[in-house]
Amino acid sequence: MTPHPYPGLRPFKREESDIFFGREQHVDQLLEKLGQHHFLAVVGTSGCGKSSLVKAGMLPALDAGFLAQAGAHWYVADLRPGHRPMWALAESLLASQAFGATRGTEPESLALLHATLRRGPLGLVEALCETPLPEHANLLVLVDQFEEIFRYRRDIDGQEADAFVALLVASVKQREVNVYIALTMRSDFLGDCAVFFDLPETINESQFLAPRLTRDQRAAAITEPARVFGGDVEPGLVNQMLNDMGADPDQLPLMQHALMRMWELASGAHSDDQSAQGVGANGIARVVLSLEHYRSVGGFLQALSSHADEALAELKDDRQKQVAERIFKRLTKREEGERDTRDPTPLRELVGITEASVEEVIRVINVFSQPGRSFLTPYLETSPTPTLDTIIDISHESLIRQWDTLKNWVIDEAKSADTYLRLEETARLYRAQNADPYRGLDLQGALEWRKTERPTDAWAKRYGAKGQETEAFEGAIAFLEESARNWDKEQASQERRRQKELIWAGVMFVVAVTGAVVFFVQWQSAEQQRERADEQTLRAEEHKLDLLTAIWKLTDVIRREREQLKPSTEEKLMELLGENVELLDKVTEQKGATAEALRTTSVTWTAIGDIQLESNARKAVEAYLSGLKIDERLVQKDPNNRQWQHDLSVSYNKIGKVLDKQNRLPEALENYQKGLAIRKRLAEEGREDDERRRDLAFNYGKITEVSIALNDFPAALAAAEQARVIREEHSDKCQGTCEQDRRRLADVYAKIAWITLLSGGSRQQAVQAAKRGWDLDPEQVRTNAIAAHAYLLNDQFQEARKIYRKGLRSSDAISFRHRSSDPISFRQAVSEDFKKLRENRIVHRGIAKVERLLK
Amino acid sequence: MAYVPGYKNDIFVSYAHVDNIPLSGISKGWVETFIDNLSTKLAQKIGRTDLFKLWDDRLLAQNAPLTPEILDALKGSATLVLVLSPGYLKSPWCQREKNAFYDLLRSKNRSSHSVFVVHRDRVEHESCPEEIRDLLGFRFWEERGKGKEPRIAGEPVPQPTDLLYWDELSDLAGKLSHALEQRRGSAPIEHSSGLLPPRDPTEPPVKRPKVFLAEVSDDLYKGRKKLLGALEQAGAEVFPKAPYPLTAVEYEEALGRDLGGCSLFVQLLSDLPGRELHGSTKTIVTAQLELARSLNKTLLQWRDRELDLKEVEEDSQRQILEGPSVMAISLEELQYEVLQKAFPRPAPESHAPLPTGDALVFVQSDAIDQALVKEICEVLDRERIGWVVPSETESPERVRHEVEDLLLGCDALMLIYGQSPGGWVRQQLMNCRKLRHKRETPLRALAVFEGPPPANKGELGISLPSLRKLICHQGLDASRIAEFINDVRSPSPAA
Repeated sequence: MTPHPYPGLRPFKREESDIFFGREQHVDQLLEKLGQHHFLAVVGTSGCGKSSLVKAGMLPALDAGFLAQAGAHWYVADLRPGHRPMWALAESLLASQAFGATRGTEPESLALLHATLRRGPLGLVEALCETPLPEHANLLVLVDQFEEIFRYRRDIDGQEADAFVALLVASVKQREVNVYIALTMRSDFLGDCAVFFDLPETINESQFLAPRLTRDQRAAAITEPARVFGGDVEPGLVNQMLNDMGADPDQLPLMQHALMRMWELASGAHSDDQSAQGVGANGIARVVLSLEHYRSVGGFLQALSSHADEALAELKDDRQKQVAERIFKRLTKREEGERDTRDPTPLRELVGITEASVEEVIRVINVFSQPGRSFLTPYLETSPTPTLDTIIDISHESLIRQWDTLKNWVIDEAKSADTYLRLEETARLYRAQNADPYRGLDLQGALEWRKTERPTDAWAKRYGAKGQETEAFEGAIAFLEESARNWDKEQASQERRRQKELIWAGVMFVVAVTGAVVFFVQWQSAEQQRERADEQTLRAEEHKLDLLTAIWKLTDVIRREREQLKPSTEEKLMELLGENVELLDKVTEQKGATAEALRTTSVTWTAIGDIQLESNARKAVEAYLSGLKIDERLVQKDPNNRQWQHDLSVSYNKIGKVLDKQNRLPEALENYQKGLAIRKRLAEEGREDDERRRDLAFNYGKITEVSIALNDFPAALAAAEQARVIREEHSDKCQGTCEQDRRRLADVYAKIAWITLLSGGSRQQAVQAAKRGWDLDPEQVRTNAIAAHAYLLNDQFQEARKIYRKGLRSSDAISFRHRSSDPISFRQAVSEDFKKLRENRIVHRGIAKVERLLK
Repeated sequence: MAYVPGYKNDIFVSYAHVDNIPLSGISKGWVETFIDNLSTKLAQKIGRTDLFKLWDDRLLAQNAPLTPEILDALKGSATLVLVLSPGYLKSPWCQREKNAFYDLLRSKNRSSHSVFVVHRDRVEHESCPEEIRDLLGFRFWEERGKGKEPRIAGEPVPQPTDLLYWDELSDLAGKLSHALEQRRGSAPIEHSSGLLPPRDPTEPPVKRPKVFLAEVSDDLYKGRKKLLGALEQAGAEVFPKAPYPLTAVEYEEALGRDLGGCSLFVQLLSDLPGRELHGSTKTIVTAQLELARSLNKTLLQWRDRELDLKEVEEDSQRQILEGPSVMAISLEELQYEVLQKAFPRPAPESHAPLPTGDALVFVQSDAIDQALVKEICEVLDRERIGWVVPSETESPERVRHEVEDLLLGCDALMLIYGQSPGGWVRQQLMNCRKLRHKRETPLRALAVFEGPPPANKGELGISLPSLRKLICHQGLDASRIAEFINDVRSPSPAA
């Protein structure tokens, strides 16, 4: 008898048959099969209620004598294979009292029974012949979560696993003693049973696949327990809960959990205000669950997550929270391509992983396992004195799938394990002189991981390569430290080199300026006295070029190294540059300047523009324009010089980019188009020149973007089409080997889809284009967003929602470039996209739905 | 000679020529293609191509007046298929054709079962001629969402994947062939009961459950059709058999006639309230629901899981959708629920009926304590108190049903705790606790009779209110049972 009508997340217990409703017919069938075959395998997905069915349904029905042929006298040895199946069997047999007083539970009895069981497949029969059951009595061995045997067989002891199963099968086949075997198993392991001899045959004979509850049966499971307690559930709530349950396998435990929370809430409210709800027949206030309670606990989906968060928040400090996090991470297991599952773990290991004291760990576990919570089992307050071997487990896998915090932990843990595995492997290769030490991003990532995760040896043992555990962790950490030392050294020497370069550029500059002052005078006089010119001019030109080169180097160094420079140094260099910029003007004005000098000046202006771009757009445009003027002069000088032509197009593009950033779109477009005109010519002249074709595609891309922004969709589509042709060409040429080309092609398809949507074109076609883009570059958030929009507008809401959700999950980690060059989040991008759609009067009822999702 | 004796033609297809103008690049018009496909399907149904005759006016000039030739053909046709569309309604020629046929029907006093309406395109219900408004129709168009023109199935040419087209066509062919066979006298007037024959021919014919599958708003036409198919296939008789007239009085009259005899009321709901009844504020949705409620029918209502109730514009419709019997499940799931309810699993063969009398004691024991039970029953006999013990049966299902029935039907319960294990007694008490709230009146008495042997009788670990323990470890002591018997006799419940 239970004090509470709903068990919550944990399975029903054997003594809770009075609140177990809805499975009566299933229990009848279970008994029928068990009686006929002395064996029964109850299989089903996780969360379908196998354990409850057997424990609160089948066992009480046996006790009640419903299996008339066998009578009502049953001993039940209830076990999970866990980490020591044979021991678990021996323990459960003694605990079942099947051997009466003859065999106690003291260690010697256990050891003796264990030995008998291990003698051979008929070990159990032999034990029962030695110490017979009372007359008319039966023994049921119930192996709950039988699937644990597969992990045991694979990872720990294959021989013992085989012996354990052989013993079960042999016990079924005999009729000398009244032994029945029942097991529960997740259906996804059914195929694995073939690793054991005779087990598949035995299962074939008597298997019960736990059916889904019908709506009526689920309604009974909701209302009847409350009625046993003199309460009730409002019909509106019953229907709401039934409607909220999806086809999800977690529905039953979630339902039980929400009901438990509501009952607590409602019966708690009673003690405060008894008069409000009326009094039941037995004088106890009558509890009636209503929609109000349902909303209060967060409905079907949030009830569990918020309840678990509540428990987490109860922990008193960050240290305890961290202990909790580590415990839950250890208790879940991620397997490639499979659902996350539980991974029961002895207390000893949890203590090792959390680096906390036993008492501390127990305290945290109890917060999550206390009655009314039971997220973890067992509750160590009441369980027989916990030992370091006590197995701690998550009570139900639905917690792993429904508790948002835990879901994130599991993802983090998987990443962490990944980082470690890579580190361990590289360390091993390094020792064998097959790998370099970590540097750059690898190193940074690993150091960051070590700092935040603070991995321990106990933790690493779980993930390390099998057979390598010993010292692998120490080796990995030593390797990491060595890598860090190497990297520091390398960085220090590079820093020295860069500083040298800077000094060199400065010295060069000073030398050049000094030289220039001297020669500038001479140069001017030379201008005046042309007759003496030849030799002198030549020398003056040489120095002038030195001077220009010096300025160019200085500018380029600033542009490249700006982030690394101390602010004071940067300021000084900028000042120096500012003072000498007028020299560039001089060169520009100079009629007889050599082409080389002119080009150096032009590229210097461009570099100056780049430097100014962030801080002062106006000055940047001025600098680019100065460069552009020189480029124009050079082109005039020799219209056939392809390099100069290209320079000119670059200048147009640079100006276009600044204007684009300032949202001066028509002007930006004009510049991009001028750049395009030049690039078209260049591309036509040099058909085989891939670089030039790429340049051309770049401009088409820019024009597409600006045209979209201007809502000129025909122009945008035309440009995108051109870009597509070129990108396809390159993609064909390199057959998917060039990452860049593939990505850009993906981008073009996304744009085409976007234009189609915006212009109210065929949504089917938009989906096709978007899907092509997405296939080409599934990682790019932009192609994802567009694909989602296309699905949405094409009434494929499910597909769309999937992608939106994925995007939202990554929104904090990844920000991506929208049309403007500033990175923005997925959420922002989507809402801007929607704004744009509205602007263009593209409406769809799904948009509002997604906006709610975004909130 | 037609398939139906006495007629020149079996089927006359009346349609507007505008509906048969081929779209550019396509060689045949919609109606012509339709007739070809219908002929093929009908031939398959009836079994021979030359068995039926279809009046074909393809050779006639367009817009020809209702020539005597046509009128003749019309008169000589057993059934009329009418291709309804806006074009049809606008063509006076078609109207005349239709009227002529109706005149014939009236003069020959035949029912409108010979007329089949093919809805080629959406036609406002109100603008339909009265005679055909309420006829069983076959809808070849579907909604594409608000503000959009409907999609016409099979246009420009029927694609093999156009499920709507082929489903409707095949339904029409089915109904047509049935009508022809009826007219020919080779089929019973009633529809046959489903596809599956009864398993055992010696079994009495299964009674066909009557299900009321409520008329729906236009957007749910397809869903209803699917459910209808499943129910008919399973052998249910489904109402309404044809649309009801939309005048409030007539509608409710017809509705009452059909709904009264149905055991189950099934209604599909969407955000649309459905057509309004003339002369009433009710819509077809509310009218049907209200009547079903007032007749206390078992309601099975359904809405789409994806439907966002917050977005439903009409308040009254939202209230209906929020009702406590509206299931938000997939249509397949609904179909399962409906079939379960319409064809319930036969209950297990029931045990002998409970004796009726003043008081009935359920004496429950494990087989091992039979001797003790015998003694106790003798005491009860002497006291003239009725008793019942479980019958001997092997099937767990029957055992359970019997125990449950006895627990619910008895006036008092006595559990015999002799040699049976404590676990057994405990479990009986648990079952009693589990089922108590389902009893109409509380138990008058509840007792555990603790008989010999005295050993091994520990605490049961369970106690229910008003549970008596009758300790008779040395053997039956009638005085101990006296109190229990008093309780049984007292009309007021023990609790």
